[in-house]
Formats: sequence, structure tokens, C-alpha cells
Amino acid sequence: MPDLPSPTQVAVPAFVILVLVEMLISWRVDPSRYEPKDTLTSMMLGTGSTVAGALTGASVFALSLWIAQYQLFDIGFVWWAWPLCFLLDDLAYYVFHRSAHRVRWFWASHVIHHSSQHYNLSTALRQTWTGFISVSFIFRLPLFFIFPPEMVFFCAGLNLVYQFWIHTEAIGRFPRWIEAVMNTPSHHRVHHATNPRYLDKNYAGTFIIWDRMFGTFEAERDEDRPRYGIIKNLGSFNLIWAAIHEWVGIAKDVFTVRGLRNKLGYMFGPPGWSHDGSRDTSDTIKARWREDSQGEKEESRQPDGAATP
Amino acid sequence: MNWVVLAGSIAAVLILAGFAWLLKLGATPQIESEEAAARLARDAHSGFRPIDIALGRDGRAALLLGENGDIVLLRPHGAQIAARVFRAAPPITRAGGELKIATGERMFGDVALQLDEAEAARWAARWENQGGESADA
Repeated sequence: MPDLPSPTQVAVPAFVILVLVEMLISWRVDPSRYEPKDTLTSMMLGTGSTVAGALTGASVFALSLWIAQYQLFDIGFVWWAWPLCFLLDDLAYYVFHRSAHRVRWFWASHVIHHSSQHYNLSTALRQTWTGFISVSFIFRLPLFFIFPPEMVFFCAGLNLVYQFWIHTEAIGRFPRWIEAVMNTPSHHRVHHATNPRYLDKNYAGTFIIWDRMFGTFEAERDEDRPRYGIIKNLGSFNLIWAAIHEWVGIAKDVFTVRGLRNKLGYMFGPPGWSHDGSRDTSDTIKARWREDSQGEKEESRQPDGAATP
Repeated sequence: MNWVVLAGSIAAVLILAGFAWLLKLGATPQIESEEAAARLARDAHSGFRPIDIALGRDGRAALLLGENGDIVLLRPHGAQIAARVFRAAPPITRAGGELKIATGERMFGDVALQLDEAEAARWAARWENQGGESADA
């Protein structure tokens, strides 16, 4: 078994240098791209995430070793297993990430990463503290039936490192053939945007092909510049609140509402689901936006601005 | 992870945030006009069509009433604007030209809107018509 380093730990010095470089670019181009308190919050959430990972990582690794006893194949560390493992891990990431936006239980943990209204390299470091509680590691478990756990964790680390540099507004778009296959800053800006058109799109980790295959791809448009954050932005730089606010919301809803069906809805329904329909989900926001856009188009077709009959 | 790595990480974080502060990145934004307030509110609440807008004299907050009764409150958060959408009028308190809107969220906080006294009085009256609580401080 090869002695594999942690890709994220190796990449930390590059992360620091690239954040500094991006800050200097922002200073010259658009100083509003960074905000010191937001940067501090993002990076402290990242630090907290590594602590949480260190506390719970051994359990996940032990689980992976247990599953590996039942491996379907004895692939080992043969060279071709590495790219295959990376590709399948990226597919597992897509499934995890889509679930993390569509199921409130997983969203409660993932929302931390989206809770900044900025989109810069420090946002990439805004990572969850509660991934273990939300059991988000389950999406990767099938891989341990095929590949050695060390290989899977290494590929997952590489995937995470890849996703760092795409959190930037400093890079526009790449040539078409790259944008067709790879997840890029442009594609990931769409993912972080709250514009109705962009909600629940571009879940990819490294390869955007999954979104294209499964119908969740949306291209960035110059006329609809991404606005970042979440539907109900925090309005606070409090670290603890950023880390746990959705869990608090789930707990309040579950204890307040009556009926098992409603309680389960608040836990496992889509974010924004409510038993009385009083809140917005991404689907209701999109529907209202489509209706509104259609109304505007029809109004603009009237030469004198008269209402459409 | 050991304590040295953790301390080093926190030091790096503080240095980076300090660098952003030294470069004066991320100035507090202002809501410059009623049109800007309407656009920001619409960005926060798709399909929102304001029929009345109270924009603070200092451009630091705005309160918008929509045609279907929804209310949007805007205030700066760092270098961005954060919004709250209300389906029912939140309680407000008036003190001279200041309207204080209680959001009911401790972490978001209450929002003070600086208006002309007559405008503040008009909004307080309007609030009562909307079925909201309005009180003089």
C-alpha cells in the first residue's frame, strides 16, 4: 500500500498564496469582492471544519475498512484504478451534492458553504462542521466495495483541492472544450447564485459532465449576473450561528409542528418546505420567477404598455 | 491535526483577514435610490412588486411594501445587502423620524430606518392599516 499524503494538507500553502493574490486583484479591480469580516468567518469555519474532521475522521475511516472486507473485486493499487476511482468518486460527489441541496437534513450541514454573500477563494474554505451528524459520508460508501479506502480518500482529497480554485470571480470563462467537460469558475458561480434561474444547478465537483447528463446544467449568462449567498441570508458574521443555524431551524420546526408526516417533512423535505406552504422552496421561487418573467415579456410586447388581455 | 498545526492555521487566517482589512476591501454599501431598493428587494424576493418604499436618509436601510402585502426589509451586511421578507407586517416603533423594525431574529437584529418625521408618521399610520403593530417610543 502506498504511503499517501493528504492532498488538502499539501495544498494549504498554495491556498494561502492564492487568497492573497486574489485579494490584490480585488483591490485593483473590485474591492467589494472581499470583506474582512466575511473572510475571517469563512476561514475560521474552514479551520473548524478541519477540527471536526479530525474528531470524526477515524470513525469514517474505520467504517470504510469494515466495508472493504466485503470488496467485490481485488483491484488493489493498479494504475488504471486511480483515474477510475477519481471519476466514480466525482459521480458520488455529484449525488451527495445534489442531495445536499434537495434534502434539508443534508442541506443543514452543507448550507455553511453557501452562507457567504461573497464568492471568492476564501468562500471555498467555508466548510461544514456537521457533516458527520448529517451522515453525508454515506454517498461515498459504495466506492469502498470496489477500491481501497486509502485510494478513495486520496481521490476525494484531490477533488476537494480541485474545487478550491473555481471559487473566484477573477477568472471569466475558458475555451469551450474545457467548459464542456470541466467544472469551472463560471459553472460554479452559477451553483453559488441565488438568482431563480440558477437555483439548484451545477452540482459538479470536478467534471461538469454529470450535470449535463442528469439535466441540472445551467450556463452563466452575462445578462443575469450571479448574486451569491442563500435565500435567507444570515445577516450575521457569527461563526457558531453560521455553522448550526439550519439545525436550530430544523429543531424548532420539528418541535413546533404536529404530526409525524409534518415533522419528517421539516427534516427530509426540500429546504424551505413548510406544512402550510408559507415558505419558499427553490421550486416555488422558480415558478414565481417564470410567471413574473412571462408577465414582463407580455407587457413589453404591448406597444403602449397596456396590460395583456 | 495537532495543536501546532491548529495554532498555525488560526494565525494564517488572522493574517489573511488582516490583509483584507489593510487593503480596505469591502466598504459598507449604500442603497442609493428607491429604484435601487426596488431592484434589491426584487432580487431577494422574486416576483416582488413594491407599491411603497421607505428609504433611509443615510441609505443604510429600506422598507418596501409589495402589491400582494409582502414586505421586504433591506440593510447592509458587510459589503453586501441582506434582506428579510415578511408575509405579515413586523412590529415597528417610531421615535421622531426613526422607525425601528423588529425582525424577531436575534442574530439579524432590529433595523433602524432614518426618515423625515412626517414620512415616519405616514409609515406608522400605514403600518396600522396593514394590520401591523406600531408604537411610539
